[in-house]
Amino acid sequence: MLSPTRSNMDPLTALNTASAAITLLNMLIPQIQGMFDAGQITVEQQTKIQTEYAALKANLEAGTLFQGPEWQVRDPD
Amino acid sequence: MKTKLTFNIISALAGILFLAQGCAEMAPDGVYKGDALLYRADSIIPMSYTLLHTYVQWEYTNREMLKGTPQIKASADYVRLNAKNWITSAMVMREAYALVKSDENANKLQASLAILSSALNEATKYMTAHAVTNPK
Repeated sequence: MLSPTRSNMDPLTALNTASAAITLLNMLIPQIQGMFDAGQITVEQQTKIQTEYAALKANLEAGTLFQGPEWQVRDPD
Repeated sequence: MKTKLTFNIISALAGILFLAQGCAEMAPDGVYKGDALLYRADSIIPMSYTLLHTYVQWEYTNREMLKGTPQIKASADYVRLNAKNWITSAMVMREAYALVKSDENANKLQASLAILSSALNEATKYMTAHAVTNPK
Protein backbone atom coordinates (compact mmCIF):
# COMPACT_ATOMS: atom_id res chain seq x y z
CA MET A 1 0.00 0.00 0.00
CA LEU A 2 1.11 3.50 -0.66
CA SER A 3 2.69 5.34 2.22
CA PRO A 4 1.75 8.91 3.08
CA THR A 5 4.13 11.81 2.92
CA ARG A 6 3.94 14.87 5.08
CA SER A 7 3.66 18.23 3.44
CA ASN A 8 3.26 21.84 4.38
CA MET A 9 -0.38 22.87 4.40
CA ASP A 10 -1.87 26.24 3.59
CA PRO A 11 -4.48 27.81 5.87
CA LEU A 12 -7.47 26.86 3.66
CA THR A 13 -6.47 23.21 3.58
CA ALA A 14 -5.93 23.31 7.32
CA LEU A 15 -9.39 24.80 7.76
CA ASN A 16 -11.03 22.17 5.59
CA THR A 17 -9.10 19.43 7.35
CA ALA A 18 -10.10 20.75 10.74
CA SER A 19 -13.72 20.92 9.58
CA ALA A 20 -13.61 17.29 8.49
CA ALA A 21 -12.05 16.39 11.81
CA ILE A 22 -14.81 18.11 13.76
CA THR A 23 -17.43 16.28 11.70
CA LEU A 24 -15.85 12.96 12.57
CA LEU A 25 -15.47 13.83 16.24
CA ASN A 26 -19.10 14.90 16.50
CA MET A 27 -20.08 11.54 15.09
CA LEU A 28 -17.80 9.30 17.10
CA ILE A 29 -17.90 10.79 20.57
CA PRO A 30 -21.63 10.37 21.35
CA GLN A 31 -21.54 6.73 20.33
CA ILE A 32 -18.54 6.00 22.53
CA GLN A 33 -19.93 8.04 25.43
CA GLY A 34 -23.21 6.17 25.23
CA MET A 35 -21.31 2.93 25.29
CA PHE A 36 -19.37 3.61 28.47
CA ASP A 37 -21.47 6.10 30.44
CA ALA A 38 -24.26 3.68 31.21
CA GLY A 39 -21.99 0.65 31.53
CA GLN A 40 -24.00 -1.07 28.84
CA ILE A 41 -25.67 -0.36 25.51
CA THR A 42 -29.07 0.94 26.49
CA VAL A 43 -32.43 0.13 24.92
CA GLU A 44 -32.61 3.69 23.59
CA GLN A 45 -29.17 3.49 22.05
CA GLN A 46 -30.01 0.18 20.40
CA THR A 47 -33.16 1.68 18.90
CA LYS A 48 -31.20 4.70 17.64
CA ILE A 49 -28.57 2.51 15.98
CA GLN A 50 -31.19 0.32 14.36
CA THR A 51 -32.97 3.41 13.01
CA GLU A 52 -29.74 4.81 11.58
CA TYR A 53 -28.94 1.51 9.88
CA ALA A 54 -32.46 1.31 8.43
CA ALA A 55 -32.13 4.86 7.09
CA LEU A 56 -28.82 4.06 5.40
CA LYS A 57 -30.25 0.90 3.90
CA ALA A 58 -33.26 2.79 2.56
CA ASN A 59 -31.01 5.45 1.04
CA LEU A 60 -28.80 2.80 -0.56
CA GLU A 61 -31.83 1.06 -2.03
CA ALA A 62 -33.18 4.40 -3.26
CA GLY A 63 -29.88 5.06 -5.01
CA THR A 64 -29.19 8.31 -3.18
CA LEU A 65 -25.77 7.31 -1.80
CA PHE A 66 -22.43 7.61 -3.63
CA GLN A 67 -23.95 10.16 -6.00
CA GLY A 68 -22.19 13.50 -5.52
CA PRO A 69 -19.25 14.78 -7.58
CA GLU A 70 -16.97 13.88 -4.69
CA TRP A 71 -17.63 10.22 -5.51
CA GLN A 72 -16.52 10.51 -9.13
CA VAL A 73 -13.10 9.08 -9.91
CA ARG A 74 -10.81 11.74 -11.24
CA ASP A 75 -9.08 11.43 -14.55
CA PRO A 76 -5.36 10.71 -14.28
CA ASP A 77 -3.26 13.87 -14.02
CA MET B 1 -0.42 20.85 15.63
CA LYS B 2 -3.95 21.28 16.91
CA THR B 3 -5.26 19.65 13.74
CA LYS B 4 -2.83 16.77 14.12
CA LEU B 5 -3.99 16.28 17.68
CA THR B 6 -7.61 16.28 16.54
CA PHE B 7 -6.95 13.56 13.98
CA ASN B 8 -4.98 11.52 16.47
CA ILE B 9 -7.98 11.69 18.76
CA ILE B 10 -10.25 10.63 15.90
CA SER B 11 -8.00 7.69 15.09
CA ALA B 12 -8.05 6.62 18.71
CA LEU B 13 -11.81 7.01 19.02
CA ALA B 14 -12.42 5.08 15.82
CA GLY B 15 -10.21 2.29 17.10
CA ILE B 16 -11.94 2.27 20.46
CA LEU B 17 -15.33 2.14 18.77
CA PHE B 18 -14.40 -0.83 16.64
CA LEU B 19 -12.85 -2.71 19.54
CA ALA B 20 -15.29 -1.80 22.29
CA GLN B 21 -18.42 -2.71 20.43
CA GLY B 22 -17.27 -6.26 20.18
CA CYS B 23 -17.35 -6.71 23.94
CA ALA B 24 -19.92 -4.17 25.16
CA GLU B 25 -22.75 -5.45 27.31
CA MET B 26 -26.15 -5.18 25.68
CA ALA B 27 -29.36 -4.30 27.49
CA PRO B 28 -31.22 -7.60 26.94
CA ASP B 29 -34.61 -6.00 26.36
CA GLY B 30 -33.38 -3.84 23.49
CA VAL B 31 -34.23 -4.34 19.83
CA TYR B 32 -31.11 -6.48 19.33
CA LYS B 33 -32.10 -8.95 22.09
CA GLY B 34 -28.52 -9.12 23.31
CA ASP B 35 -26.98 -9.75 19.90
CA ALA B 36 -23.80 -7.67 20.09
CA LEU B 37 -22.61 -8.64 16.61
CA LEU B 38 -25.77 -7.38 14.95
CA TYR B 39 -25.62 -4.17 17.00
CA ARG B 40 -21.97 -3.74 16.04
CA ALA B 41 -22.77 -4.21 12.36
CA ASP B 42 -25.59 -1.67 12.49
CA SER B 43 -23.26 0.80 14.21
CA ILE B 44 -20.27 0.34 11.95
CA ILE B 45 -21.93 0.26 8.53
CA PRO B 46 -23.59 3.71 8.65
CA MET B 47 -20.59 5.24 10.40
CA SER B 48 -18.28 3.77 7.76
CA TYR B 49 -20.31 5.36 5.00
CA THR B 50 -20.19 8.74 6.73
CA LEU B 51 -16.45 8.52 7.40
CA LEU B 52 -15.61 7.40 3.87
CA HIS B 53 -17.86 10.13 2.49
CA THR B 54 -16.05 12.67 4.65
CA TYR B 55 -12.75 11.40 3.28
CA VAL B 56 -13.64 11.65 -0.42
CA GLN B 57 -15.33 15.01 0.21
CA TRP B 58 -12.17 16.25 1.93
CA GLU B 59 -10.02 15.16 -1.01
CA TYR B 60 -12.49 16.67 -3.50
CA THR B 61 -12.65 19.98 -1.64
CA ASN B 62 -8.87 20.20 -1.35
CA ARG B 63 -8.09 18.74 -4.77
CA GLU B 64 -5.94 21.55 -6.08
CA MET B 65 -4.02 21.94 -2.86
CA LEU B 66 -3.33 18.20 -2.60
CA LYS B 67 -2.05 17.99 -6.16
CA GLY B 68 1.53 17.48 -5.01
CA THR B 69 0.62 14.33 -3.12
CA PRO B 70 -0.58 11.75 -5.69
CA GLN B 71 -0.98 9.06 -3.05
CA ILE B 72 -3.98 10.97 -1.71
CA LYS B 73 -5.59 10.84 -5.16
CA ALA B 74 -4.84 7.14 -5.46
CA SER B 75 -6.23 6.41 -2.02
CA ALA B 76 -9.39 8.50 -2.45
CA ASP B 77 -10.03 7.05 -5.91
CA TYR B 78 -9.61 3.57 -4.47
CA VAL B 79 -12.30 4.41 -1.93
CA ARG B 80 -14.51 5.85 -4.70
CA LEU B 81 -14.19 2.68 -6.73
CA ASN B 82 -14.78 0.27 -3.86
CA ALA B 83 -16.79 1.94 -1.10
CA LYS B 84 -20.18 1.05 -2.58
CA ASN B 85 -19.17 -2.59 -2.84
CA TRP B 86 -17.78 -2.62 0.71
CA ILE B 87 -20.93 -1.08 2.17
CA THR B 88 -23.29 -3.18 0.06
CA SER B 89 -21.44 -6.40 0.88
CA ALA B 90 -21.51 -5.62 4.59
CA MET B 91 -25.25 -4.99 4.37
CA VAL B 92 -25.85 -8.25 2.50
CA MET B 93 -23.88 -10.15 5.14
CA ARG B 94 -25.71 -8.29 7.90
CA GLU B 95 -29.09 -9.22 6.46
CA ALA B 96 -28.05 -12.84 6.00
CA TYR B 97 -26.86 -13.03 9.60
CA ALA B 98 -30.04 -11.37 10.90
CA LEU B 99 -32.05 -14.01 9.03
CA VAL B 100 -29.95 -17.06 9.94
CA LYS B 101 -27.61 -16.64 12.92
CA SER B 102 -25.19 -19.40 11.98
CA ASP B 103 -21.45 -19.41 12.67
CA GLU B 104 -20.81 -19.21 8.95
CA ASN B 105 -22.93 -16.09 8.54
CA ALA B 106 -21.40 -14.54 11.64
CA ASN B 107 -17.91 -15.13 10.24
CA LYS B 108 -18.83 -13.63 6.88
CA LEU B 109 -20.32 -10.58 8.57
CA GLN B 110 -17.23 -10.11 10.73
CA ALA B 111 -15.02 -10.39 7.66
CA SER B 112 -16.98 -7.70 5.84
CA LEU B 113 -16.79 -5.43 8.90
CA ALA B 114 -13.03 -5.99 9.01
CA ILE B 115 -12.77 -4.77 5.41
CA LEU B 116 -14.64 -1.61 6.34
CA SER B 117 -12.38 -1.15 9.35
CA SER B 118 -9.31 -1.45 7.14
CA ALA B 119 -10.68 1.16 4.72
CA LEU B 120 -11.39 3.56 7.58
CA ASN B 121 -7.89 3.13 8.94
CA GLU B 122 -6.51 3.94 5.51
CA ALA B 123 -8.62 7.09 5.16
CA THR B 124 -7.79 8.25 8.67
CA LYS B 125 -4.09 7.59 8.07
CA TYR B 126 -3.98 9.86 5.03
CA MET B 127 -6.01 12.63 6.60
CA THR B 128 -3.82 12.43 9.70
CA ALA B 129 -0.62 12.56 7.66
CA HIS B 130 -1.77 15.71 5.90
CA ALA B 131 -3.02 17.37 8.99
CA VAL B 132 0.60 17.76 10.12
CA THR B 133 1.69 21.31 9.52
CA ASN B 134 5.26 22.26 8.77
CA PRO B 135 7.03 19.14 10.00
CA LYS B 136 10.69 19.84 10.56
